[in-house]
Amino acid sequence: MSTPSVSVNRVLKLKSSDGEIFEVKQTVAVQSGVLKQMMEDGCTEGEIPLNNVDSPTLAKIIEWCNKHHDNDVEGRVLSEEREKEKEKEKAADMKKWESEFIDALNRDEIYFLLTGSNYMDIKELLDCAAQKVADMVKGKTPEAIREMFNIQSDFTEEEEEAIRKENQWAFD
Amino acid sequence: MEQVQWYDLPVEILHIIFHKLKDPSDIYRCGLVCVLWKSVAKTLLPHCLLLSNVDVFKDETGRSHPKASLNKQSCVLLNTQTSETHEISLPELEGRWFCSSSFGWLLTIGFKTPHKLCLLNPFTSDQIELPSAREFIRPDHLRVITSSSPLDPKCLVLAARGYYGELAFCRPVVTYFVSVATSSL
Repeated sequence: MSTPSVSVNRVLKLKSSDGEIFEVKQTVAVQSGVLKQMMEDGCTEGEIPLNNVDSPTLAKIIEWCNKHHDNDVEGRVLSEEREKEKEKEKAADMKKWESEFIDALNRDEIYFLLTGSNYMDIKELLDCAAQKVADMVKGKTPEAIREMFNIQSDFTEEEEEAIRKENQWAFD
Repeated sequence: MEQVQWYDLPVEILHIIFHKLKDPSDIYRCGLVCVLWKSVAKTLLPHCLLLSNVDVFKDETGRSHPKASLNKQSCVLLNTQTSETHEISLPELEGRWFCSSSFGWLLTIGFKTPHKLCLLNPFTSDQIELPSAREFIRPDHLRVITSSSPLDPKCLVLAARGYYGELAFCRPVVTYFVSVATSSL
């Protein structure tokens, strides 16, 4: 990694909102924009409290980061000629792993993964979870989406009617 | 785990999710979920044209052309910035033509006499019945234009068959068209 303050063997101690401690290699933790910044600023001594991320979610996030880190490292070891071809294969394998990872989660877990990866600034994970939600709402009626996510419509009756009336709001 | 409230999902995350929706009608429908989702969806909707009676086919050079598709149970949304098209499937069109659109509503016409007329919102499947078109000799040539959204009580629907010089209007709440003398057309 390019950051000089990051060393291969050092670990960070991350504390979840419910008080559990997770140890993560610095080289893995750089995938989080927030932790990377803290490392660059040299303020990663002791436990790092992540008040918006509970332990099941943090475990999932670390699983993701470890997997992506391993993939990076393996990629570097390869000889240059084979790299391109292997890279493609790797990308396909990673895609498969990602979709299995996301598909195994229930709706609540996806929600916490979204907010957790947003809070820790892990763009790839946030993107992947957001894509999953986008796939879930695709082709669904507003009523079905409300039911799926347990969202109450907070439009007044008049507003709801007005929205349907002015359906050209989509086109202006 | 604490109780999940999807309604509380931060706006910046909603933005990322809606950005991943390629079909503008999906973004549109998300905008009907609640006030917050509407405010986000509204900022992301691309400029679109609703194409009621054309389809796209590719010629031998791979170029796309519009073509008529009177008997298809779908309509097409054209993104005017990217020229991308998105098909909206409309099972409500079973046994019906559709001809023109006004304020985002499609005019649909029954194949069989008395050729029942309807206005159809392709996103929500809302339908409004209009007086039947039996007064018109060839209803498939009919075009309508509305003065506002047809759900507006003040809305006036003008029906025209330019080729034959016929013109009529109605309000969606009444049950018959009023013919207009069109000798000047």
